[in-house]
Amino acid sequence: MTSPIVISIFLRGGMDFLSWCAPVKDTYYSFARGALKIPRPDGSNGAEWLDNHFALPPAAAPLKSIWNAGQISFVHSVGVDLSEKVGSHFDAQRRLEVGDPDESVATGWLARAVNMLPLGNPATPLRALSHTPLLARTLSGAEKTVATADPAAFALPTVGPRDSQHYTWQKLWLRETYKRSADPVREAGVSTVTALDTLESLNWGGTPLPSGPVGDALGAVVDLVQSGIELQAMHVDYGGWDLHANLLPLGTALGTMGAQMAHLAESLAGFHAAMAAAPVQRDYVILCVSEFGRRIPANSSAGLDHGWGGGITIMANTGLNGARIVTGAWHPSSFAGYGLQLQEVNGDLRASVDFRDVLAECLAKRLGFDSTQLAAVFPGYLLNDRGLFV
Amino acid sequence: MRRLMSDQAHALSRRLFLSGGLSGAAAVTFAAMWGRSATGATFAAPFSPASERLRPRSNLLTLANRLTFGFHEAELPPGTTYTGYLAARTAPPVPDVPSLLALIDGLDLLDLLTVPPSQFRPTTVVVNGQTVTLSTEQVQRLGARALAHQILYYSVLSTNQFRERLLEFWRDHFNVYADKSLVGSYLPLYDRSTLRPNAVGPFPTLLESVAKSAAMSLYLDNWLNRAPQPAQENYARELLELHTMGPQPKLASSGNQPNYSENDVRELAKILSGWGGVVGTGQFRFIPQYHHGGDKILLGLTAPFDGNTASEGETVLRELSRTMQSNPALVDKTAELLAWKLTRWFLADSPPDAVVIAAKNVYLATDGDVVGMVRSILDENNVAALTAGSGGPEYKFRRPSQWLAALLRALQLDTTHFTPTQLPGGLSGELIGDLYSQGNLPYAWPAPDGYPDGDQAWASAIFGRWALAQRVFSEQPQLVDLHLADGDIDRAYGPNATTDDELVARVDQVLTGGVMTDFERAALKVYAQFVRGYTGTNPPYTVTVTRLKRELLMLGSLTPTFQHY
Repeated sequence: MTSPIVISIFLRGGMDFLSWCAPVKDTYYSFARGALKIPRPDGSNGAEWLDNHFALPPAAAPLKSIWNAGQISFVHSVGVDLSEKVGSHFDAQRRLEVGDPDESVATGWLARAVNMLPLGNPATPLRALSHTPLLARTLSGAEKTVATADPAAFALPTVGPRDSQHYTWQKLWLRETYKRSADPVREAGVSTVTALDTLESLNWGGTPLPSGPVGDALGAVVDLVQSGIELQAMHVDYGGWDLHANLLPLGTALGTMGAQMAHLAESLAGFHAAMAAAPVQRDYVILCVSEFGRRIPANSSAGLDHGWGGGITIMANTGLNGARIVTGAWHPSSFAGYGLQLQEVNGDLRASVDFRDVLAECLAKRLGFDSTQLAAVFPGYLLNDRGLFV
Repeated sequence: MRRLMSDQAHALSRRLFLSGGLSGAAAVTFAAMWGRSATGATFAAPFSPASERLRPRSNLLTLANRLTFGFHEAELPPGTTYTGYLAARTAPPVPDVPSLLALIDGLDLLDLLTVPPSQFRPTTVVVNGQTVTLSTEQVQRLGARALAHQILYYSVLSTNQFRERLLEFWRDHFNVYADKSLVGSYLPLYDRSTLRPNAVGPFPTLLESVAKSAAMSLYLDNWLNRAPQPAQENYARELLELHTMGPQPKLASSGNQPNYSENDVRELAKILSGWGGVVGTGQFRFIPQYHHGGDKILLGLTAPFDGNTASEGETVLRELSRTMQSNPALVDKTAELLAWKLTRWFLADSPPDAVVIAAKNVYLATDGDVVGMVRSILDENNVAALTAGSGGPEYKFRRPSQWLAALLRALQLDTTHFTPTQLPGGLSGELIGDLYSQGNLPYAWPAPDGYPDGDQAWASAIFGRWALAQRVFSEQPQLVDLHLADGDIDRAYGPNATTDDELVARVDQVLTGGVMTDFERAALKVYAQFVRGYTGTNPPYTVTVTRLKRELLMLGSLTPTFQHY
């Protein structure tokens, strides 16, 4: 059986999860955020209740029907280090992408996972795609993997027809020459020729999704699935979340962060609908991660500085243990609406959910990884089951 | 036809494989390989991967590749010495040739590279007879585009190659992002007035110039860091993490304690409040009423931080970058980070400790002399050591922009080859567009850490240059801003190359200085023979010698050897 495609979407810069899955009933949240708070849904302001405490901002409202279908979950208080804040983008991103807070490994967590997955067809030309101009660290070291932000343009321009003899020779020449190089150039060259054979003849653009980093990438996933390619993983970068300033108006598509959130939500919803309607069906799990959350109080410029606990969003067409909101040590609805304040450390939401809890449970339950395989992906880590997947 | 193609392709594959096992590939004629294809076992000597990696280069050739955007033949006449070349290349910059300046002036239709930032505003222009109104954002994009052209042309054509290499480094070290709102208006000013005049150092001057630039203040939001609101930490954090000390020591011998704490970041943000207000001219401005008064305690500094002046920020910059200050541990860390990054940039992806320590000591002895640090890093013994390891020579992998510049330099193109064209709504340039799609346009990296430096990051982007090479070497013009005429191709080969051996030898010499591997040369010859022997109908043309020469140069530019410098 073909395993689900794992799609990691990295929200680079530190997404403010408190605006994405907003604790609108928390009194301290409303106080500390002031003008930057997401409003309680009132039926006309566009915000949507998730449960009786958390709400989606207007910009993320397209996710409501997926929530109702039990195919999306939100995990709050996620961190790369539960003992102290990691305030550096680059440190936090690296730890998350290699899948090890101690950085005892250099390859990406998803790369190690992909390399261990069985293949239905061992000759498959493309195991993973990094939808980025440069290979994302998350997929660094993965076999049969290429990086391109525009897979539809992954074809060499030729003077003559694409099936011409010269072109065939040139590709062979490149393959043989790069085979004799040293890694990482060897691996990149050989994977590129192999992927060329596949991608340059594919039918692209059958599924229009919102134009932008996430929509373009997820549209490519639909096309790849429809072509029958046994793609196992995809990585998408969606930057622009390091919003230290000028966030107003917040939560609607008019503000900077609102526009970011709207593109993410609309792309996820569009992909959800497209995959449900597509002739070739394939299971998938989408993991939207970010290096940290943002400070609870706003700063001097209507913005939010780097925080500690952030969040992960999971969307899957099958295998999710219902739509859930996990918050770790944070008990949102207790303490008369001051749950957030009790988790505040120097202005930050304390991180109490190890990011690996989510990623590892996904691999264990959706991809069938045993404890030995999990240990190879996440060195020195023991699964802490958060009950997100069945 | 399909069947035939597939058979021929298979034969090529086998020949290429077999020739890889030969140490003296040049001794084996193609005729012999062709004739014995059915009994290929004759050539099936075991292929040894180690023998096929990069070939060791002379120290001088490597030095030339590090201090310029790539070797070109005329630049290393016989008799050139290592120390002489190092001294000459790292000498103070001289004025660039008028034809280069004229080329750049010609492409900069709206003078966006020279006008004050206030001129970045809605503008009406007449282009090709049409009147076009440009928004501020479009004007900013045009400015960034003109700047990208300028940077490419300087990389290829400037006589001050070392300064251009340093500028490329500083554009990463002090990265700003063209598409962040407002930054675009101050981008050309940043490049020409902040980075370029200070590119050769000393470092403290450059650091202060960047800290007082409008582009950095806008990019990292410090212009919005205003009391009495809580301090805004963005710039303060990156000043410590990326521009000066770094989060941890780079050398194992310096321990592994964090260089500063979260509290230091918060305190520094207060010190920098009110710093870098932006006005139309881009002049630095300190606004006292936005400054957090009161004591700030950070980094073990003894200076009093209770004033309401810009000098608090200046004191910190001095403590971070100059010697003989109140806490010498700070400049020690800055010197270490900078030495480590410059060593990685100019010498090797994994900087050797001893080289870093020597460069750091130069910084501390000279109060931040960047040129002295690079001279120390490129000491001949350090370059010689690149070929000493058992894993094969350790050369750097070219980024897309470096690959393109190296190719255009190797072909010794002059300014007349570049034709930036004028289109309604703006300048077009496909070389620039191509660098953008390869993720390597100047000022197009959104995060403050700048483009990555190292082969792990860039090898995966190799497809883009394969595609661009097809366009550069096409017989029919495919790029609006560059087309190689047959005369250019003939000039690269010279008058005396006719046989396949001679053609391949010239490709090797022109592009790499004659350091391709045996396999690469043999593979080029095999390809030449296939093209010469081609009698098929797809494509339906006879292959000319010029076309063959183009294809050999194109493949040569894609060899693993040419990807490294």
